[in-house]
Order: sequence, then C-alpha cells, then structure tokens
Amino acid sequence: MKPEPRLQVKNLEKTFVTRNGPYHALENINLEVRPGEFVALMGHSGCGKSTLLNIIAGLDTATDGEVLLDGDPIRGPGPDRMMVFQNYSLLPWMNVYKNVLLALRSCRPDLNRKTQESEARRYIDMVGLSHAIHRLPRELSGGMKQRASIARALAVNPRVLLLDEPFGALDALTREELQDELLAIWEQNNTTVVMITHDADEAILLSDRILMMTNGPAARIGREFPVPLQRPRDRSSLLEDPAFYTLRNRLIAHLFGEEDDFAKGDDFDNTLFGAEAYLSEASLEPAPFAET
Amino acid sequence: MATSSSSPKPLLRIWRYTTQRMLPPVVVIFLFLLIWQILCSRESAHLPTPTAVVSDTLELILNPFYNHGGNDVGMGWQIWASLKRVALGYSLAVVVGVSLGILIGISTWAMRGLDPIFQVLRTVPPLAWLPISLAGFQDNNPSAIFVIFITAIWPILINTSVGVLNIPSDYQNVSKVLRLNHWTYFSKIMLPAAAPYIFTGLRIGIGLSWLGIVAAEMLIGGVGIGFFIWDAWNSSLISDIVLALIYVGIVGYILDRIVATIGDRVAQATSA
Ligand SMILES: Nc1ncnc2c1ncn2[C@@H]1O[C@H](COP(=O)(O)OP(=O)(O)OP(=O)(O)O)[C@@H](O)[C@H]1O
Ligand SMILES: [Mg+2]
Repeated sequence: MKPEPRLQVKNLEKTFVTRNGPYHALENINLEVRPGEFVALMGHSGCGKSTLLNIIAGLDTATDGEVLLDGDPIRGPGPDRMMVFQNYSLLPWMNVYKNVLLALRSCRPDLNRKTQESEARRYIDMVGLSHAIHRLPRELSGGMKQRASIARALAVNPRVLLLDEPFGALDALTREELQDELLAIWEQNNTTVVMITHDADEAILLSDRILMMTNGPAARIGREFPVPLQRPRDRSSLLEDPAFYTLRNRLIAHLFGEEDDFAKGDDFDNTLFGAEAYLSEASLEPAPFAET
Repeated sequence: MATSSSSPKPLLRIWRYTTQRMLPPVVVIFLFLLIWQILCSRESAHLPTPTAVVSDTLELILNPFYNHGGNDVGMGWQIWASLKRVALGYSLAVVVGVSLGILIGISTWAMRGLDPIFQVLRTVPPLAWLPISLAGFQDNNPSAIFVIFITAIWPILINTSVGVLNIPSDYQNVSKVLRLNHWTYFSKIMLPAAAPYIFTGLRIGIGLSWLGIVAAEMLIGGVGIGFFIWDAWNSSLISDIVLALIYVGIVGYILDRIVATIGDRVAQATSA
C-alpha cells in the first residue's frame, strides 16, 4: 500500500499575461512527493522551475490545476511550505537570532517564549552559526547568510521545505560545505524537501529522485531519475561509487541530448544560456576521479 | 596633500585639522565681511556695515533672554516662540503625513482617491493657506501652526508612500510565507523598510517648516522671529534684521542637521 503523498501537484497549468500576449509557461505538471523524500528539480534556465516552486509555496497562483499538501488544497503562502529564497531574504535590520526568532514567534505559537528562544538557538547552532548569532546580515558572508536562511526555514518545522537554487550564488568550496551540511541536517530531521538546482552533482548527492523539466514554453516534467545510492551518503564515498557516474552521465546526456527538448525551445538565447550553465556546472569541471 | 594617519603627535594633527578644515571658511567669511564693510561704508549706503550691525545690536547679542514684557523680549525668546510653533505644526505633520503616506502605500483605493487631491494641494504656496486658516481658526497662533503643518506634510506624506510602495518583494514574500500578523508586518517590515524614505521626507519637511514659520509670523504678528524681523523693518532697525537673519539661518541649519543625523543613523541601521 502506497503512503499518502505529502505534496501533490495535479494537472497544473500556468499562463502568464504579458505585454506581448499570454505566455504559457507550465503545461500539465503532475508530481508527487512522499513524506521525508528529497526531490531535486532540474531543467534549463527559464523553463519554469521557480514558477512551479512559487506556485507550490503559494506565492504565485496556478492558472489551472491544484496543489495538495497532505491531501488538502493549499490556500496561499504559509510556513507549512517554507521557502529558502535564492537571495536569502533575511531582514537586514535584524541580527541572525532575531531573524530566526521572528519566524518562530509567528509560526510556532504552540511553543512558549522560552522554548521559542531555545529553538532559535538550536537551529542556528545546527547550521553552524552560533558564533555569528548576533551579527546583522550585512556582516555575514554569502554562505553564512544562506545558513541563517536555512536555520530560519527549518525552525518553523515546515511540512515541505522548498529550496530555489539555494547554493547557486556561492563559491564552489562553500557550496560543497553547505551541501554536506544540508545532507546531514536532512538525514537527522527527515524533512520533506523540493529543491531546484542547476548542479547535477548536487542533485545526486542530496536527492532521492531527480525531476527533469523540459524547456519552455509549455514546460512539462519530462523525465524522472531515481537516485539509487545508499543512505546515509557522504561525498567521498559517493565519488568512488560507479553508480554516481552512471547517473551523472545520464543526467548530462539528457540535458543536452534530448532532441525534443531542444526542438521545443524557440528562444535560442535562452537555450544557449542554459547549455552554458550546464557546461560550466557539470561537464567542464575537472574530472572527479582526480579527487579520489 | 596626503596626511599620514599614523602621525604620532596629536598636536600636529589638531594643527593640520585646523588649517585644512577651519581655515577656508574663516578666510571666506572674513573676505565676505570685508567686502560688505567696504561696500556699505559709503555715505549713500542704505545698509549698515558689519561693524555697525555689531555695535547697534550689542545689547541683543549679549542678552538674548531679557524680558521687558509684551513683545519686548530677547532674540532667544523670539526664536523659542517660533520653535514652539514649528514643533507643534511639524509633529502634527509627521503623525498625519506618515499615517496617510502608509495608507496610500498599502491601499490602491486610497491612493487613487487621495493622490490627485494631494498632488494639487501640495503645490499651493504655504502663505496662501494663511488667510483661510485665519478665517477658520479666528486666532493667530493656531493659524501659524496650521501653516507649518500644511507646509511640512506633503514631502513627508509623499516620501512615506513611496517608501511603503517600494518595500522589496523579497521581504513581502518572507512575511507572507511566515504569515506575519498585521502589527508584526507593520513594525518589523514596513516601518524599517520605509524608514530611509520617511526620513528623506522628514528632512525636507523640517526645512520647509522653518521657511514657512518666518513668513507666517511676519503676517500674524505677536511673538516669534518672523514678527521680530517685520517689527524691526517697521522701526527701521536694519541691524536688528541682519542679526535676526543670522539667527534664522543658524537655527534652520541646526534643525536640518538634527533630522539628517537621525535619518543617516536609521538608514545605516536598516540597509542591507
Ligand atoms: N511574472 C511573470 N510574467 C511573465 N513571464 C514570467 C513571469 N515570471 C516568469 N516568467 C517567464 O516564465 C518562464 C519561467 O520562468 P522561471 O523564473 O520559472 O524560470 P526558471 O526555470 O526558474 O529559470 P532559472 O533557472 O533561470 O531560475 C520564463 O520564460 C520567464 O520569462
Ligand atoms: Mg529560477
């Protein structure tokens, strides 16, 4: 018997009204995420990943179709689908502690003030920011800001955690560090996660399942790749696993190879940009064999 | 010239600061006074020389807080009377301007309804409000306060509404996802995000208030630095007018600096 999905997207359509007429961004999107599952969402730049995530978050509305959380249709944004924004979105006039505490005060009224405060400290500690707890966002590095943002998101104990390219703006070293930490935190907390990423390695390292979106307009979920790797995972043993490279090659081949994906993209620049992004993200990186 | 910041001698640093920062204004002011002195020393001059101003107004300069009853009080008291009116009118303008600005910022309906009216009213020159407020209040003091209010309110109102309209969508999304209640959104997001804009309005407003009060007091009489100037003109005490202008300028400058300093602090505290 299949457990009830945590998150369900059914026959979702999105058409933007623009100055140049309607733009059909998403077509017939269907997906299910089980409780505790980590799903990665990939696809070329501009295909509609953020649009889909924003609709799931309730920050944007679907033209048609529905989003169900534990079987109930979502109504507007809410902390049960907490979002980690790409640009961190910390409030610049509050220090790390106050940013996290604001979320707890608003979303966890079930906890008394003392517990809210200790929870804020606990999550800040979990992302390794205890030493910077009283710093303002402008006094933090990009990686530290993203840690604070993740602490804030985890603190409200969401039913689904939504991540929109959370590490996209970070340098390679910091990104790896944060990926490892997110992996450890996820394995502890068993949160359900939907994450957008441009980075095939990141998707494989972290997720249980990778959803590939086709190019826009009218983007669909093209294919789905289960990640057949043992958990708990860690980066170094992953790099020794041949299954990792098999999947990685399939993902990259899919991103470039698929005829109908490219044929559909009538926006040439967009497609080119997407290809460049992937080349730099995955294929052109030094061969990972060197690291082992 | 590059000054070495590692200079160990504090005396040397004070000397450098004095020569580099203090010297230019002192020289320029001296030259200005000199030219003034020369120009007004002719027999046919209508205006007093600087030395004449000082000797004519020595009593006023040395004793700013005398009180001989009625309107015959020192310059300090005159300024104080004007400042009290400004304080009242400006405070009212801040409260009403910020509130209405927020209303316009958050409600499209309020914006569509109020904005056209405000755009027309704000171009009315301050003194044009005086007769109508005299007619309404039948009293000098509230009329002057009203003129200050109506002069200062527009930049405050408009800048506040712009600040509220420009709250970054990131912060709005955060507040939506966290389902912040109205009060928390107002105090933790809207006010800090709009604060730099609000203070821009407050700074323009305080300047206009001070411009307005001097003009209004010239017309309504009683006490106040504006009336003092008008009274001095009627008594042909030109030196008194010159002294009053210097006072008006310095007080206006201080008011501006106070609001600007607070505004800079706030902008710094709320910047990303
Ligand atoms: N508010 C909007 N109005 C009109 N068109 C929009 C709007 N938001 C997004 N789009 C269009 O929808 C498409 C999908 O945008 P979206 O931001 O979801 O892409 P994405 O997959 O997240 O891209 P990236 O990987 O670069 O972040 C784009 O072509 C974009 O131009
Ligand atoms: Mg995006």
